[in-house]
Amino acid sequence: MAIRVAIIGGGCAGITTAFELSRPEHRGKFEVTVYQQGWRLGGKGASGRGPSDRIEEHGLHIWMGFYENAFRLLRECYAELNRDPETSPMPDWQDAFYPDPYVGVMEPTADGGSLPWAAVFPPGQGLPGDPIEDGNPFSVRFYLQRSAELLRVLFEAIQLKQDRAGSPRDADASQTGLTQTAEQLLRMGQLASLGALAQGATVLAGLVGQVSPTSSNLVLRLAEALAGNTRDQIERLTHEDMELKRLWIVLDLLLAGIRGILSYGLLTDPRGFDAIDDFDSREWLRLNGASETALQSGFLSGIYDLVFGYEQGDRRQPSVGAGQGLRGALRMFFGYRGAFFWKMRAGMGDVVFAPFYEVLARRGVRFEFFHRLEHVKMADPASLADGEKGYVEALEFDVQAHLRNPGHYQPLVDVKGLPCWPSEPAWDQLVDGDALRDEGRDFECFWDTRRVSTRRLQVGQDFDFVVLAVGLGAIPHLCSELVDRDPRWRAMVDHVQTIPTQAFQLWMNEDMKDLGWTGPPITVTAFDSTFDTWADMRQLIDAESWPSRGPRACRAIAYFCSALAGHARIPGRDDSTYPARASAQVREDAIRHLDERIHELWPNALRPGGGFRWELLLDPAGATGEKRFDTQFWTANVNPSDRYVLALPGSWRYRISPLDESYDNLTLAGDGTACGFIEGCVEAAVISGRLAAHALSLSPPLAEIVGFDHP
Amino acid sequence: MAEFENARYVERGEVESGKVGGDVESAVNRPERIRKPEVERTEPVRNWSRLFKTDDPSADEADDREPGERGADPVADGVRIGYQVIEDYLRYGEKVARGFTGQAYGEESNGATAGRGAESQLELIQDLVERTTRNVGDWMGLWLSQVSALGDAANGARRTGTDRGRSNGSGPASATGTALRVVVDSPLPVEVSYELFSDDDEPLRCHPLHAADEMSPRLCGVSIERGEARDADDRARLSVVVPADQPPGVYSGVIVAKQGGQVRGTVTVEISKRT
Amino acid sequence: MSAAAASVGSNHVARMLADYGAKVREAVMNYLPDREPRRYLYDLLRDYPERGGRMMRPTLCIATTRAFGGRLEDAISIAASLELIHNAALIHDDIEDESLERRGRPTMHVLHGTPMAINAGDALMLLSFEPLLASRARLGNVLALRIVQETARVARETAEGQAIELGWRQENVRITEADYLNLVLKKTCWLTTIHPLRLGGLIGTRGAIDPDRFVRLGFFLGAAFQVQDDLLNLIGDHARYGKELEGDLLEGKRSMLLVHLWNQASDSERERIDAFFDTSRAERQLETVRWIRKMMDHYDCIDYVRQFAHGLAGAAANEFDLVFGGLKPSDDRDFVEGLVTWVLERV
Repeated sequence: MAIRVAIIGGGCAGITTAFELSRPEHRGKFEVTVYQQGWRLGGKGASGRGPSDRIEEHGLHIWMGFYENAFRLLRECYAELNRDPETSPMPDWQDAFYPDPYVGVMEPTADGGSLPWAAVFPPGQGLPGDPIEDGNPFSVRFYLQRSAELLRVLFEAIQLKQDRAGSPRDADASQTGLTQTAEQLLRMGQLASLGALAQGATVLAGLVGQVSPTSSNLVLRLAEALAGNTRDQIERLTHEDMELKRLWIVLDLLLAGIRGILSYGLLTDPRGFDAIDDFDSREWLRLNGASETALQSGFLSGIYDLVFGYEQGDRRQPSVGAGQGLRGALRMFFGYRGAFFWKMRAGMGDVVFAPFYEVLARRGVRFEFFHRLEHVKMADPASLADGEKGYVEALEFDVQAHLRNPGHYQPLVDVKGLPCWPSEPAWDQLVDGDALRDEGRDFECFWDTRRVSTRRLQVGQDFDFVVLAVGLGAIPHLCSELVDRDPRWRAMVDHVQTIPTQAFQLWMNEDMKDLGWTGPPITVTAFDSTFDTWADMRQLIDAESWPSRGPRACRAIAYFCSALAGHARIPGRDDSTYPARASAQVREDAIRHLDERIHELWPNALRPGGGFRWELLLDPAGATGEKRFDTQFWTANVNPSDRYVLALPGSWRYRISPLDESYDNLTLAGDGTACGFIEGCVEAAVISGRLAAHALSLSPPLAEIVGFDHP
Repeated sequence: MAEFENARYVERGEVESGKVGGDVESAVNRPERIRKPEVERTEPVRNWSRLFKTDDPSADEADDREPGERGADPVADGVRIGYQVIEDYLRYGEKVARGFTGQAYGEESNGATAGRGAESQLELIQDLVERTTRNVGDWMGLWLSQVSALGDAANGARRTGTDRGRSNGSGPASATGTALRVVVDSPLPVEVSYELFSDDDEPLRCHPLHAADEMSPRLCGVSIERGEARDADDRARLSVVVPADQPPGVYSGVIVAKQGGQVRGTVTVEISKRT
Repeated sequence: MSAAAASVGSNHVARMLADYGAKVREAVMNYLPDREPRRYLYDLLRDYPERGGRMMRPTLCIATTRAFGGRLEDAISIAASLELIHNAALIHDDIEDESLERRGRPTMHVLHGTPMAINAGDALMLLSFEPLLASRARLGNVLALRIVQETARVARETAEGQAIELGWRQENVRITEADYLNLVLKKTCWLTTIHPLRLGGLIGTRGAIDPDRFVRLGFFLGAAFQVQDDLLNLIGDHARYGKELEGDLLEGKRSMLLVHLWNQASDSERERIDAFFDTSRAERQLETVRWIRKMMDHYDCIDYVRQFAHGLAGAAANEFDLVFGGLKPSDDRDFVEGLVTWVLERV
């Protein structure tokens, strides 16, 4: 008789667990049902399709080349999906994902402005998700040999800047930005110093690759000598030479990291990098001798931005635990395969969750949409026998809508041959669908509590195991009993912080070159503004349904995102206007960003008198000025389950693992758990989902979960 | 995938029959329930040296492995185990060695270790003397003199002292002085001793030495030089040059300050008959 | 290193050993006076030094001194002191091991009885201080004192090593390869290689160098030396090696061979080996020794240990580079380098 597993939440973690438990090798041992609020899977990774089939995402969904687990499962999914190449626009995973080696950060300049610093990361060996050959590849030598390569990257970055500087713009001293003409970098003198620097650093990297606890002293001294010798040299040159300065910044941080690893004994500390996690990353680097210039650089800020590492979302309070930061940085920079970033050719919902949905449905996994979990009912502790663990007795749901054809909801729509999630439910499949639509029911909004009925699932009758794969932000509300009775759960919700994020998307009628960005499509972060990240998403134009010519043609797509400050506390459920207020705030921030700052990246987006050229935006309504923004897409991701989980210093201790055995029919999943890789990202969620599957079935073996065991 | 097949689930029937958990009565009354299997661990392995065995020459103990495995690469075993031992030793031994100031050869003849640690040079000497007296022999006199000289050095004696130099005529003397470095050039066996009263750095000189026997010629080749020869510790050199026809006897003289002529010490040279 | 290069290296080592060895022997004899009481003391003291010996320790000391820029004259008396200590230790070792032969002749306690042998050993040990003190003139008080302290250190290490080993003989404990190497480190390497290197470095640099830099090199060299010794004792030619064949086994001494054998052996075989070690020397059967020897063949222990020693030598070569690599090329530096292979080749 099959074991019934109720998976709450169809995001990355929940879908992963479903995928693992429904593997053919289990031979039907598990009967899996995914309970999902609203009409679409994806959670924080969901996307929909709006007018002109435009993709509307919760934020910027970019995958990284070190997402070994995520890519492995994705590739298995596509292989199993086996789409017909004749008819499908995306039969293979490599049609869905493509490598994106261009990364940029905004670098603060002496005059208070900032300049983009772009780099092309060299392709990593193989592809992410490829089988890993030699045992555990995450070795010191592996990481530190890659650091030598990184240095080469930095040289090439100088070239890139040269190219862009060749664009025909006048160098106006008062104008910051791309129009700065690069000086002749290839002066012999500088080449020599660059070469020497690189050589020294490469030697160091090679040496560090040989490091053992014995030679660590020597290496430490060498690192310090190198730092000392080159610092003077560099500081003399940094006034005139931005490129050299950037090279030095990365070297400086790398050396500080190496020094830190050695002097904190991380090579042999059984806690691995967790041993330093009580420090903030920047603070720890400072302790290990990194210069202030390096510490305040766009490079380091960019890393913070990548993980929304700001307490309460406030950019003035950067905070990322040094242990998680170091681990994440090592994996990110030295563990990537293929490319540093991997972008999608459509929305993440289309590229990831739709294929998974299809495969899972084929395998017999059941999906209950429009089921919003409201409460996890635990067994009364008084009723437990001696030594018996607590357990989930019941799950209480609000049913948001009934299906006209019960048990059969077709959630996907076809866009140019690709099955996609829509931005709205399929009202026509819902009982009283028109009425629900007219009432403006928002099934994804925490503050829209309307429902058509409730449903109670009972242990032993409707489920045996529960996988709680909701976002961490939702736990306090859903698991009030647990939080009240179990000090560990209380500590978790108290100490593991979540913050909302914000995002907006623009569709424009001029291309990036016209806007003044002449480089290749790029993702730039560390922008010290309301929105710190911009991604050029022109690859999505073809996935959407725009006219190919004329004034309605889309020539550029831009995504922006950042943390949303000022929303540390989640308002009570009765504060029904809160979402609207938050949304208005995002709109305002976006407009300000466009009016005041974006020209630093897109010089030609500026009107002669200042302010954004709103006519750039595609607006079917034909409004003028700022109002053209209203037909673009923006979102305040304030729903508790949408909130991003932070890795504040020392917070890792309070997380609970999917493997935790305190409750014998419950397992947690999600990137807010103690899943080994403590950063908010797809990979962490997938790892946690695999761990949850292991907790229930002892499969996959822990050793197979790449990167779980890692210093 | 083998693990999950062995996963120990509590099946429904077992709860009912009371095989697992709780007392039989409540088990029967309660709805049947499946429980999660036991996992082997709940934490990731963060121990770098355990993870990165292949890279780190001083990584993990061979003892963890089965004997059969161990023979696989003896050369690598030699390197690996060797480094493991020496690194452990250095890590531990440093602390101990730093506190160690000197212990005599403490091996008793029955193999017990001399557990006492000598706290100072003085104790070292005392220990040596003890041992010496325990094994009384003719060479005791020899040792006592050496040991007391050592004691002088240990006490940071001022540069004053009675020193003895010996030469059997065929090479440089093995002098054991503290203040002066005695260099003898002599075809005859000589013994040089001196006393220096002051440790000032002033230039010194030596007058020719007189024999007790007034008939013997003075011994002129005795001089004190400072500086030109690079000595180990920049001491002045007491140079004794003895001509082949110098009659045997005891010659003595004074050491005076070069400027002012005040007496600063004495020198005695005992010339033996040629053997 | 090619075979040709290796043999060149070995020839060089042999030459240096002979050259410095002769000088040291002369210096040693200077400290062993030719006077009464001869029959009960001074003849005994001269006995072992006169029997010859490789002179590896003092040569290593002198070569290191010179490689680091020091002079022969500065090191010679220290080297003599090393040889005196070595011989003193041999006398006592032979007593403890109940050995019957040393360098082709009966051991001292066999010739003169244990009390006199103990006396002689003590005397030699104490006498070894004399050249140390004599070195004060050349080296200055500070350095001389350091050398005395170093000597005291090596004495302690050696004593501890011996105590550990005796403990093993009294209680038949299970010993790992790491345990054995640790024993070798203390009991053998300090006196044989680490100490001469340290002294040589101190003398050559006038106390500037940190002697701890030599510890690893000394360890690996000495360990390779000792492990090779174990092998030779088992398979070497009696006439040339000069000790009883399988003597070590009979004496119940542990060796890398035994450790490896024990690890490979089956449970019943282990029982038999353990039983052998539990009996006293007198009761031990040669037959069991032969069986153990056969087991070693059966489990390829010889080969394993031989390669293990190669590993140690390889590590020694690595450490040599780290310590001596930056020095000017010289005969003396070549000597130390040659030792790495010499320790494996000598028979």
